[in-house]
Amino acid sequence: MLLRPARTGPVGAETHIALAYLGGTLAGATTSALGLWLLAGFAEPLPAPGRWLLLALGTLLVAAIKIGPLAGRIRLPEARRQIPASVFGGSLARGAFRFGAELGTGMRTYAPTMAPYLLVLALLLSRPTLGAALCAGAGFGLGRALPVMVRLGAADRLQATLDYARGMRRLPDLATAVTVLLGALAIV
Amino acid sequence: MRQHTPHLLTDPATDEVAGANRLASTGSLQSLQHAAWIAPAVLVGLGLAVGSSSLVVLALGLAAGASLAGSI
Repeated sequence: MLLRPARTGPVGAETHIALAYLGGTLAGATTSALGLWLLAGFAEPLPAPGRWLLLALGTLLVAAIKIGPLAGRIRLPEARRQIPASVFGGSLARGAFRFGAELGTGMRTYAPTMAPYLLVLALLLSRPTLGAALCAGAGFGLGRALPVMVRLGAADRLQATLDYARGMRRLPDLATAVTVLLGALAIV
Repeated sequence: MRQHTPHLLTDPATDEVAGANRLASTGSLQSLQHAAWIAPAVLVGLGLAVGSSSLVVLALGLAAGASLAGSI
């Protein structure tokens, strides 16, 4: 856990750790977005109907593998590991940055939900500008850093973590995926 | 039939403070959780309304990143 289980000082006491983590998630996510932006060049020759078809097929495949009949039979690409504790070898702030950067890439640990895969499809097929791709990366980094930001101000961080995890489980993965899909359909 | 009232084994004053803190914490967290879901949807709509694909993809990234909150 990046922050102490219970807040013992003022709210801002561990802000530098949370900010280092946020910097890491933003750096990792924008790096991945940059890579996807480069790969998106391959979709350039595809006409709009072809891109929509690929998005539809890709979405069906992701849904079938994550929550449908292919669940447990086929695996989507993901790093089936947790970020190792060795990233905290130096100072806590530097460790928080490295930890955030690994999480921010979206490729260095588990990805149990559908939304990140749909985001990748959207970026690959929408031929975004460099600025738009970096915005997507910034959004992903912000979203990835949200749990730590939430914990920062909480008095009982252990309870906050449990509440947050419980709440995020209630947050329907399907609804989040539909939001991403609708947005993707609009820009592809 | 009269119900038996159990004895309180903990300090009510401390419990009250802890309970209030937990309630405040949970309340604000639930707001944030809802915001993590609603904000991207609103931003997508706003981005489409103003024709900003950057805003749309930012919202998509936010939704995707927030959906992975439990995964480390």
